[in-house]
Amino acid sequence: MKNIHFPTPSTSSVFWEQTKLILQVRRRQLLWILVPFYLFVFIIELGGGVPGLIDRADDGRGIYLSWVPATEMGFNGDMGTLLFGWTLTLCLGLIWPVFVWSGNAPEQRDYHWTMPIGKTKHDLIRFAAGGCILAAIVLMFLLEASLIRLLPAHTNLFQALSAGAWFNLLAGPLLYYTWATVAAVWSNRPGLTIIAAVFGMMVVVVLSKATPPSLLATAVDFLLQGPYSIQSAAAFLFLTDISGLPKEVTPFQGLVATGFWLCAGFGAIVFASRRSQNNCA
Amino acid sequence: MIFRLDYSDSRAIYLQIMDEIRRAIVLGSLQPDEPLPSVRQLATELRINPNTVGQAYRELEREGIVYVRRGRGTFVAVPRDSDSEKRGLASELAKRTLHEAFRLGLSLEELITAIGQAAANDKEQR
Amino acid sequence: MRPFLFDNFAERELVLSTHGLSRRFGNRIALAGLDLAVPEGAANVLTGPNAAGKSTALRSMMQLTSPKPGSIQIFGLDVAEEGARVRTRIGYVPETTQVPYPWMTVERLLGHQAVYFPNWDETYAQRLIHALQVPRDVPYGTLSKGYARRVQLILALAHKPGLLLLDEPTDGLDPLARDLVLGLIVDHLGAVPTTLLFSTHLLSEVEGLADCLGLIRDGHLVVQLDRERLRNLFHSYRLVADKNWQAPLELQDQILSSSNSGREWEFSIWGRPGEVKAQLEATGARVEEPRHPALAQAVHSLLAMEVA
Repeated sequence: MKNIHFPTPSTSSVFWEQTKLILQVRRRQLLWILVPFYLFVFIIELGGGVPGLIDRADDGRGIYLSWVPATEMGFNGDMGTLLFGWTLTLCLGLIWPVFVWSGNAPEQRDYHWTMPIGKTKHDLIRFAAGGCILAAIVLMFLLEASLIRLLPAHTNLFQALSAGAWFNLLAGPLLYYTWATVAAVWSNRPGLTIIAAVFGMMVVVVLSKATPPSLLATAVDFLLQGPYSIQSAAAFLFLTDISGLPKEVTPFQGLVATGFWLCAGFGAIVFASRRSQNNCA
Repeated sequence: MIFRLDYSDSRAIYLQIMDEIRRAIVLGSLQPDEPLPSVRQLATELRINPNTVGQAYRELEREGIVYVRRGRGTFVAVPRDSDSEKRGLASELAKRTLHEAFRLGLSLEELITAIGQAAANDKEQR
Repeated sequence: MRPFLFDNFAERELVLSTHGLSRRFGNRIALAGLDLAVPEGAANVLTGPNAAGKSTALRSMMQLTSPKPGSIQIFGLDVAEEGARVRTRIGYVPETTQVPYPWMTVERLLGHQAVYFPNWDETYAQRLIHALQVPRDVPYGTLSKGYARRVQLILALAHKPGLLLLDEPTDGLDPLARDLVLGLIVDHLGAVPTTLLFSTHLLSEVEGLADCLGLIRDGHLVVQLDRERLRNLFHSYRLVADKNWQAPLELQDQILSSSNSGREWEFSIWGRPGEVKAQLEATGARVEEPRHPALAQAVHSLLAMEVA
């Protein structure tokens, strides 16, 4: 066959189409999650506290629902509410792949793969598109919190946080998103897989603390808790800033950890993509 | 134009199409310089391969029965010898009648007698 | 003595060819060394019993399944290496009508496809929507099978691919929808020079369309011939004979099928019709003119022959 032209679509046009697609896939559910979230952030940042369950030994009222001021949460000033809001973005990062890959479980991915673009490349473009949208969601949260905290009687975030902490705030959810994407790319029930993995890790951590020091404890420490662990990458610089505790992790270590875990996660996604292609009839 | 195709007939499809067109010309339902349906139209109507229709049209053009105007389509040529068309048609009819008679178990003589009889009766009734 | 059943179309330009295409799923062998050849510009029909491997073959061409072992060349490129580039010029309609975005309207779905195929002809797509009376602003998931199939065809045709791979496109449709789909395909072939590979087991409707036929059975390609050769491969003979008449011994090997009712017999026999008729008549039977088999009957007889 001579002189045949094979017009492949440009990566950027595919990227934008995937972005549009992800925003439309579960539009209603997404709004039901994002609107209350931003509203909640508005209320807690403005009010400087969160609704919570209190059990005070002295007032004899037992356990009751009340307003917990951020200053009583044990962090610098009113930074507790930011931590609260940010933990929610970490959770969003974990479940975000379920939205991104909705309708495209491996057994349904045929149509996606018949497109004239490399299958793994296509999966990665989708991952990137989902990541950019997540980044936008987190940035809007940070912007909202920052603007409110410019008011008097609030802690100005631009002064309170180091550059490393800002980096953490954005990188944390993206890191969790990257690793949760492995589940979405590989498994037909990503939601369940992610929940099972999170529970599994919590169980492992508890076990490693309860049993005498062993190989398991060392591994857990390295992967989940040490200076180069994923936890370090996701959270440590920020946590140090808002808790006033001595720095156990240097910015350099945090950066290296973030870089390492992002790359490892990316590699895991490529691996999962290839596996899902081979597993399907 | 109404086409009738028989896939189990010994004639290839494109030949059948050619015969149908010749028939239409001789009967006058296609006049000289009138356009034939386009290859695409006819193929779609009959649910057959456009290549087959194209082949039929090309053969007809080769025989001088139709002519092609680039970009405009295929048109019926002015018949140079309408008698030869009629002879072709008669020959086709004779073949079909013979097959049918044979299928019914009639011999050639019986068939010819019957035709003669029918022609005579027909003449009487006019 | 066996008739010539396998033409590899070596003299013609091939748009698609597979070499030793094999694939198994666990213990089940789906394909066993398939050597399919699809000549350029031809309408190729792929047929065979259910689970013969037709769908697996088409899915392999779209890289949805990888051959183990075997290779596929399309437009002169190896599919395993350049699958993405190859797919830019293929229009594929899978067996299923499901799409991962059933919430998308038809219009939106077409827009989605258009992003991936720079050759997309929006005017043509709109014309097809109008001609097929497909509702534009209805979610794809709410369409009936007949309309879903039409949309799938528009998705495949609108970028004017050089090769159309259709996996049982009329399966499960009502007769009206089937006819419409066929008309759409033929109309497209008339407008755009395309090579067609069409898998089906409803052969009556592709009777007039097929240029070449490939017959797959248990993962093997048992027949590959063009339509004319197939038509002349064997013929059906009707004859009338005496009560205790039997078919001549020398023809026994060539008889593919036979049926008998009183003094009438009908056979499918391969071989030159003139000779066969003479051999039958020599036994005293009265034989009608041999008739060409319909495509469905030809395939049926070929399958019977393969078993014997």
